[in-house]
Amino acid sequence: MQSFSQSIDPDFGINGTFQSKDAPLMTTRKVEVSVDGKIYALFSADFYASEDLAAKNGLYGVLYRLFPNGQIDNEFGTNGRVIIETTDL
Amino acid sequence: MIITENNNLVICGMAANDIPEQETPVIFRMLENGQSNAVFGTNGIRTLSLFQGGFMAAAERSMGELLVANDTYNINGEFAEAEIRIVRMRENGDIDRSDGALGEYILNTTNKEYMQGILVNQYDQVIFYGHYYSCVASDWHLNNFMFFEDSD
Repeated sequence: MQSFSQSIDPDFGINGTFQSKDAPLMTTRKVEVSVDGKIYALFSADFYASEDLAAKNGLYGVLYRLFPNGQIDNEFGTNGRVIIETTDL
Repeated sequence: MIITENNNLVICGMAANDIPEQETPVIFRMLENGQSNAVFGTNGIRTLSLFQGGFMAAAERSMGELLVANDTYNINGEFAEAEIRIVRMRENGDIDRSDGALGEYILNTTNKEYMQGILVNQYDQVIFYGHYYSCVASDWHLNNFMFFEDSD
């Protein structure tokens, strides 16, 4: 069994962190890892989470796909994300 | 959200209405590239009218069968609290009604359980998990639960 390093991998995302550009009004709902190591991160939000979503009133979800290194996979949806409208996740 | 055996993404939630007892359960199914899976429901979206409000969760059993469950408001708009409702769904979003006209199962519970998710184990048994509150001598406790489907 691999040991637990007890430290954050600085090579993941930016300094070890992925933060959606829709933050800070997003709530993380679920994270899943596919068999090929890609990471699906599902968030939900209320109103006006980011400028390009500002016109979307109401609850909605945003699903990102990341490479194992925390970079957004732009081949998924539109620029790496799918917006799920009018849904409370 | 689950990733199915064929790498589809299934997400379930409630169509937002701000009135919980009037919210509609909705399930999205996407292809691996994030596009809607057009053969599921209507353009990748399936709504359910069997239950309302509450927390939604999904799991995949063998042969691609989807299970969708929630701790629910009942059909009269009352928060049932002591039941979890489950629907079996085929890969295309059709409800499996082979065991009843509604295709809906009700798991009667006793402690006002709040479901957090469902899983399927290697024996195709369904596991429901979550928490509930209890009060003993004015002292509130947070308890966890796990229900296993009877395999007999």
